[in-house]
Amino acid sequence: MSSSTADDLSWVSPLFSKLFDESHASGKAATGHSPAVAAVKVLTEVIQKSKASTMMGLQITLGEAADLMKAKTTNIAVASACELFARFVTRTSLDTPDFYDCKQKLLERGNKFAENSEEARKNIALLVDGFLKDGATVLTHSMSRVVLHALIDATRKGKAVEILIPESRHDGSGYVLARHLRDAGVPFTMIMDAAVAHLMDRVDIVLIGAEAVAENGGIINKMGTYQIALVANALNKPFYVLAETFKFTRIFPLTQTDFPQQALTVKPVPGFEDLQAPEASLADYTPPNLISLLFTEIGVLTPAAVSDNLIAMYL
Amino acid sequence: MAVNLAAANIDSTLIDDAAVFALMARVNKVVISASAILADGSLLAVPGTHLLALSCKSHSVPLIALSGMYKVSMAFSGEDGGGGGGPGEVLPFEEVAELERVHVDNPSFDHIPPSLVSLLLTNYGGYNTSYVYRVLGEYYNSEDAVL
Repeated sequence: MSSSTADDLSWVSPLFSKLFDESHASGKAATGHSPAVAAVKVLTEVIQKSKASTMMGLQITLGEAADLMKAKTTNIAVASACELFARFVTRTSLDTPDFYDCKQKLLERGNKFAENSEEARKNIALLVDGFLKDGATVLTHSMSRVVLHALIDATRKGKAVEILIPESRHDGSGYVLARHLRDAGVPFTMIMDAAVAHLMDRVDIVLIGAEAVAENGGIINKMGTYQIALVANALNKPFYVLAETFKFTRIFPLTQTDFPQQALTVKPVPGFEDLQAPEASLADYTPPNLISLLFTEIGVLTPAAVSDNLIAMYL
Repeated sequence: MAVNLAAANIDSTLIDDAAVFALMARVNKVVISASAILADGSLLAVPGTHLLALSCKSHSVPLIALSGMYKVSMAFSGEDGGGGGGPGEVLPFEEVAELERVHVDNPSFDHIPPSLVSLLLTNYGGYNTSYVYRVLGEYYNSEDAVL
């Protein structure tokens, strides 16, 4: 039975939509925040505004807010951030019996989350630095703030890195990355998505972000990632994933359809509108056997190491 | 090695490095020593070991690497590798006087990827290369990863 003063959550969906749109591929600002951070920001607001006076009441409200956000998007990072935050709330409530002290701690942590994610990107860039040799050719895919940060850092350190960016149709998220690199004065070369195999010979390392990291160390990322991983593997090129730990999710996909699919409506190439548009969905799954290493703020991990760390986070 | 084995009354057959692949069909297992075990389970070993490991894989012969635990390192294969030995070890200086346009490389180590190693045998037990990260966790703090 919910309390008689159940919290009004009508503001949750609009706020989340606004923050989410800012975080999304085409709108991704270089120093902006990921959808997971958007979700945590909203949950922190919920705690701030909540009239609940017990932990249980607060947890129920948070659960309802999480459901509202998950109804707006199938983005896995959002669901995993909500679950991680809920775990954090439970752990904190067990450690801090006083409700108001507990609420304070939750607010502090929630407010720090955005800052922590920026710190995480910095630390990941530091770890990647040892693997990015001067004169190396890097292939990326889609827009990833973590990868962007690592590439800019390398250039600032004076390394001459050749960056190959596939367009990442249909949302052109490759161009979003390109624009940020241009603004930071970093040279790059745009390539066709279909040319990845053709050019893979030139490539020294592949650097990829992730929407979510699965329990087995595999990743969910923009459609095309699996393809690039297969090519990289076939030509023995290291395939490195850069992801913060809040992207670790309790999913264990066995096939390409084992995670929430997000369909996209795309238009055919201009001039061919009379023909059928391609079937499109947003993300694919790259299995762990194709991933060489994952770079996270807790260190460089082999895919096998991911599950240990994931379990530690969720218990 | 052959001399030392003979001194211990063990018979052995000495072959040329180039004959490894040809003779691999007659081999049941291959035992090597690792100079270092890297954090992703790959090995640094004497040059020529990678070729040996590939021959093993091609013939499905198990490759067992021996090493003390103290050789397990936090470093990864992608990071700046070691330098090399002097060129004189490969090409005696006396012969160089006549040579032009020849560059001599003498790498210190071969890097063997984890997928080619069947078993790592240490003084604390046998491990799969995919388990090295756990072993590392027991010997090093993750804060020491970046000094």
